[in-house]
Amino acid sequence: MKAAYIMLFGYITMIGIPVLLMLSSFVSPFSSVQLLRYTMNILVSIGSIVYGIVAIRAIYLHSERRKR
Amino acid sequence: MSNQAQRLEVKEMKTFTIAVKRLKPQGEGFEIQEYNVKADKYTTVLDALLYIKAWQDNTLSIRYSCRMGICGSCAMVINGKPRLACETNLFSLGSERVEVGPMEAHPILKDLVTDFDEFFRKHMSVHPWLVREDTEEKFSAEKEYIQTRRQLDYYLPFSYCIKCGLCVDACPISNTNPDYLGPQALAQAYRYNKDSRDQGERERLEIVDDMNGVWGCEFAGACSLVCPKGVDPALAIQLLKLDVMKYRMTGKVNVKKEF
Repeated sequence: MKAAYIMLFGYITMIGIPVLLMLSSFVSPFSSVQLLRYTMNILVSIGSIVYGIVAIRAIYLHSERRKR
Repeated sequence: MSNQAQRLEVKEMKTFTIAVKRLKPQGEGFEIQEYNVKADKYTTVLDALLYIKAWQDNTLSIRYSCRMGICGSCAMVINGKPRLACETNLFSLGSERVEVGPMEAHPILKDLVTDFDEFFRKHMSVHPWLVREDTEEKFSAEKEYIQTRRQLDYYLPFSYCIKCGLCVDACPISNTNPDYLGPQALAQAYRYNKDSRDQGERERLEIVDDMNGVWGCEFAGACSLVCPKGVDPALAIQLLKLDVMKYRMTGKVNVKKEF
């Protein structure tokens, strides 16, 4: 996979997670949009995992360099 | 101020201690050797080193050429900061003890002389020349490639690079990752990409789209701080990231005026 796509995932999650969390907190008082809130929370959790994977990959690359 | 007063001021001499960090033979670490040099207010670090070499220690190795900040040969670490020795005035450093050492992001050959083979290999890897699809033009040039002021402005600030290697020495990524292309090569890739006469943007974007290319940059900005020519490699890399992203998303490169 091209590095640009990996970085794009990183950037989208970097911006997307806080935005979704804020939206989720705004809609929390309204019980009629619970489904929307759950969906946003699921997206946040998926985003966090993706961001974690991108970060772990970066750490792995750095540690490989240090070994050399 | 009268001419006589000016002359008297020029004659004001001060003794500086130049502490040179020298690599011991067989690479057994460094040793600091100190020399005392009398200097006036116009003396540069390079002048002092040349004086040392001529009158005190002819074993001291330095590389220099133009003595006026054009060739970029005398790059070294002066008082902890990568600088050009010929452009650094001794009085401006603000201390009577001046520590001079080689750039440590490049392999050290001897004393203050570093090896630039890897630096130029990385520079060449981004194709730092004008790529043209019309090869006939190369052998029978018939037209002029006239640029507007605006087209020139896009790449001119990045074309002042003198390949001194100071940005690479200052870069924390280049110092920890030997595979990273480095600020100099990436800034040059951007410079040629933005040239309206160039048609090689696609191939350069393919080369720099790598974790050791533009995405290796953590935007510390040290490269731009130390550049003696005022080039802003950090900015060039961030703009290059944007171009790579656009290229990957759309498959298109920036439209340039056809000649």
